[in-house]
Amino acid sequence: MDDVWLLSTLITTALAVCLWLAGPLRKFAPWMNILVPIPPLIWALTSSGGMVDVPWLLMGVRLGIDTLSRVFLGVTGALWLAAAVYARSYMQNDGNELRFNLFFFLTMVGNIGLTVAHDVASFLFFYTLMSVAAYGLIVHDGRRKSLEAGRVYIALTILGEMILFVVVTFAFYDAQSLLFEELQQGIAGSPNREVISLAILCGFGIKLGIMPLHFWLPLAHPAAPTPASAVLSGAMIKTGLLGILRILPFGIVTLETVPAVMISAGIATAFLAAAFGVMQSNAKTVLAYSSISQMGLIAIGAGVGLFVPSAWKIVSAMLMLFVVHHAVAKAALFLGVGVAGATKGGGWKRFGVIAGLVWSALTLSGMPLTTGLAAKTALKYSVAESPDPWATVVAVLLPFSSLATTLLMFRYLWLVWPPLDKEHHYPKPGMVIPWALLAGGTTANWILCVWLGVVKTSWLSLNASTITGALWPILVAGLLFTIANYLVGKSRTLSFIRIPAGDVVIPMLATVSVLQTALRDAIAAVTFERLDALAKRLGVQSKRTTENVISGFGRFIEGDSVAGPLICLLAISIFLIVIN
Amino acid sequence: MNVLWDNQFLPLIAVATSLFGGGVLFFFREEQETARRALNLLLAVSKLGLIVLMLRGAHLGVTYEFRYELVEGFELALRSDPFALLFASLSAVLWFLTTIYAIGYLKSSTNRSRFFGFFSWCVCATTGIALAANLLTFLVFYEMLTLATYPLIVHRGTEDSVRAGRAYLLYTIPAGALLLVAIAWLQLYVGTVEFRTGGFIAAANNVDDTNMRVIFAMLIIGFGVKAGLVPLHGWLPRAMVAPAPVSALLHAVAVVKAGAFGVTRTVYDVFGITYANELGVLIPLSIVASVTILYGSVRAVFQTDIKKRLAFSTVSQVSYIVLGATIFGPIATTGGIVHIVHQAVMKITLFFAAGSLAETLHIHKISDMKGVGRRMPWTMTAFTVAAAGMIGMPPTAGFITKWYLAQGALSAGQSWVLGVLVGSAILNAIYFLPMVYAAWFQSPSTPWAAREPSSRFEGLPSLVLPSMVTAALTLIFGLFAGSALSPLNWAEFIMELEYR
Repeated sequence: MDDVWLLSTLITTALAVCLWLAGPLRKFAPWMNILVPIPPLIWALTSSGGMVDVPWLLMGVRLGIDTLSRVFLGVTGALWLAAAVYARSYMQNDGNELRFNLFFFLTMVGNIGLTVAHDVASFLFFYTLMSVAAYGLIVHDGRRKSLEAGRVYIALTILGEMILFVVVTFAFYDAQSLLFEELQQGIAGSPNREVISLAILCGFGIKLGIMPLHFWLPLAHPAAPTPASAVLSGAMIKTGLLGILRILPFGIVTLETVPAVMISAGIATAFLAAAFGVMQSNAKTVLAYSSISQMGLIAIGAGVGLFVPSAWKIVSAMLMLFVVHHAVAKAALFLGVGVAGATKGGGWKRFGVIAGLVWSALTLSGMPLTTGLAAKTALKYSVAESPDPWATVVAVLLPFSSLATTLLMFRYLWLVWPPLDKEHHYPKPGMVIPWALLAGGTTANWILCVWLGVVKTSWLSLNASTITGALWPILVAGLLFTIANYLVGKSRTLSFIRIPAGDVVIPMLATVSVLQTALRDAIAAVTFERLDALAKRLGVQSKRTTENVISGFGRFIEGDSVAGPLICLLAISIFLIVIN
Repeated sequence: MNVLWDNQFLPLIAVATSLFGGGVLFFFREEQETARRALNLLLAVSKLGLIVLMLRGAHLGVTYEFRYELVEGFELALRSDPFALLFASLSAVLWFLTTIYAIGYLKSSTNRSRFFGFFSWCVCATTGIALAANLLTFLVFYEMLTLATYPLIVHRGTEDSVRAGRAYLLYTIPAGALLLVAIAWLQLYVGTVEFRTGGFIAAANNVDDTNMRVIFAMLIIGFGVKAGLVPLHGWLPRAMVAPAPVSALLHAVAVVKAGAFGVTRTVYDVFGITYANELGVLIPLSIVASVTILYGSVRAVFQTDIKKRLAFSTVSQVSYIVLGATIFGPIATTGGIVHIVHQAVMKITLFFAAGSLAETLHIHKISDMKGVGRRMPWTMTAFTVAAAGMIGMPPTAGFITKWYLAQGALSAGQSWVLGVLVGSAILNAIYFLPMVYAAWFQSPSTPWAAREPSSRFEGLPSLVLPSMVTAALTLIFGLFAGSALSPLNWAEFIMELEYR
């Protein structure tokens, strides 16, 4: 069965590529985007495991399904499918939907492909394809803000790719294999394993949005059209986690520094992102911060796995659960922004929309009867495995993180709450159905797990103490939010406190530009000023810029007529001096 | 014994066809369009055929060799060894594509017979350089290349192109003289100038290291001028005033690559990599190559003219080959050799695309590229693929090169090279991505000239299709790098011979 679905995945993808090459068929692109994620999704669900080696592709490609692939592929395929259905309705009459569909397709192929890659070369190929194509989604609407977000995004993406390139080169040198399994062993046995692991954490941490590498994310994810935001924040963000899980030596050796960095960065991320998030006035930006905050929790969990290799089984199960839970819930929340925005007027339809919004928000806050609570419980148990003082510190902080998440969710609901208008207008079924399926999905997943026994664990069971543990943060957060809202409404000073989307990016860009100017002035003061004085005496107007200096230098050494032979002689003498 | 299949004269025939074909082309009248076109294509196809025959021989283990003694001790010798065939087949394939491109590009130009005549001689020289079995033969064709490309650079006859041509000669003629001195010295000193895997100097007895260092420096400077090593690269950015097909060929296979090929031959088959490493000349050369890589990229960032930016990018990219040749170790060698092919397909794509934009829509400046992706999507797709290759994104050919160079540098214990590679990749991103962005995401400032009513295509098919083919090759060479027929596999085969 595996071969059948792998083959149909390849065939549908090839068909879609042909469709893009053949002009007149391109109007079917939205349908093709719906079709493409279906075979890989079925593959993930029906697979019995197993790998395919293709030695003549790249530098030896291995594709296939293991546990990690199955979970990531399943949830990625489902999310892209839902987003594609949603986008077909949402993007109608956009004007540029053809371009959107192309980048949607490319990002999707990259994102789905990397979940089944088991060697570095093909993983990096899909990862690059996804990252670069996502740029097209982010700048799609062409507004200045989106272009700015796109610029920050692409700069960080390239930076991340470069870090990964260098570190994978080093890792390969130790392991002498591109296969993830052997690469992991190689890193585990390498004397530089801490440095390599830390660098990989930086490279993938950019995608994952771990502080302080998160600032592109609240700019970029909300800038994309809503269905694209949903997959960016639901599925694409977790490719960073997948990369870390594939390469770092989880369950093989104990690392010291890296998990400490991961857990502390995770704690900072979880709380700071929530604090920045509640001050946003755009629902999608709030959600982007919420994603960052949740990725902080994931980083804490993964850090535990690196501390205690023997606990890796528990930790990996927890991470899988968390990934599925967050992906589905976050996609539902993002799609909900579009659904709520299209809802005007009263009636049972409005009530349904509100119920869906509230339920998906509560899911993320860790509501009983959803995977939210299960993920939270699982995280609690996993953290208990870590060595002291981490176990104690994190155990104390965790309940407050659900409080923070819930505050974010209240803020989200506050911002998207559909207005009660005279005019009646409701979203198209093409938008409502995928959204509703995802919003109910977290509950459905929970039911599947509990009743069908897909996963047998005590994390999913409900009892009085877990329910109280789940409910009090929600109630306290509700109270806090009401009080805060009241105060902000009353006090003018408080209402002026705003943190711009991307928080540190604003002072950062400002610093960079100040430094640039300062550096330029300093260089100019030292070197150019004298030249300028000389030029003025000769009656020549000159402009001091780095560009002019470089070009001037170029003109000098690429200079006219005599330059060639002269430089030949010069080079000979230099070479002779160097080697003697 | 089949005379046609197994003929020792095959290398000579391969060189001679374009020499005589080129000679004949001069006598065509300007308006004999069809006949000239037919002869051009015939020449290109027959050259491909001859190369295929030699490749078949190489596959069966036959090496074709032709020798003719000019004077006592100096032989004109051509041989189809694996490294020679790599370069020869590259030039044959790209010449075929460029011929098609040039026919379309020069449709309304004057002096076409002259152009194609020299064009043909230029390829004759390149094939000769590829197949040369000793340094003297190499030099003969190397000088012929200089003389055959000069008329192509000044083809337009404008003041700019005449000046560029003069600069070209001023750089290359002294370099040729320097090479001649070095080769004569070697002949007297070592007694042979015959290329040999592992190096003929390494195989010789009683050579003095200091003298050899000086000869190495002279050879590298002689070849470095054409390869565009800083500070010998001054002619290269100016030569971009030549017509686009000339630039494409110049930057991909002919002149620049001949220089890089010469450097590689010097390191491997003249000195031998092991001996060169013992001499201690590799590190200075890899520093020069690294400086060239970064300098070329920095200069490219500040260019506003498309072709000029591409020219500086060539300065940078060709030195990857030199860098690969100078890092001691089999992996870097593979990376350097394979980049001869990879850089060629990527850079020729970019020049084809740039020429196609210039010819169809009169776009010369980067600022005019806004929105051109919608008007000429295929051309710009090809451009985008090649640009991704230059940056080194997987799965393009450029990624494979970068990976092998990085691995080679690590195994040689020279991890600083990684810094050069990453710096260059970032600079490449800085100057290529804005062009790609402008073409696909911005709107044109003025509406485009209307399409030719006769064509449903975005431009002349002969201008657009070659760039699509080479862009596809850029992807295929990277994606199928692990297959037995890939340039990578071939480069590994050559490398094994050198380290045997």
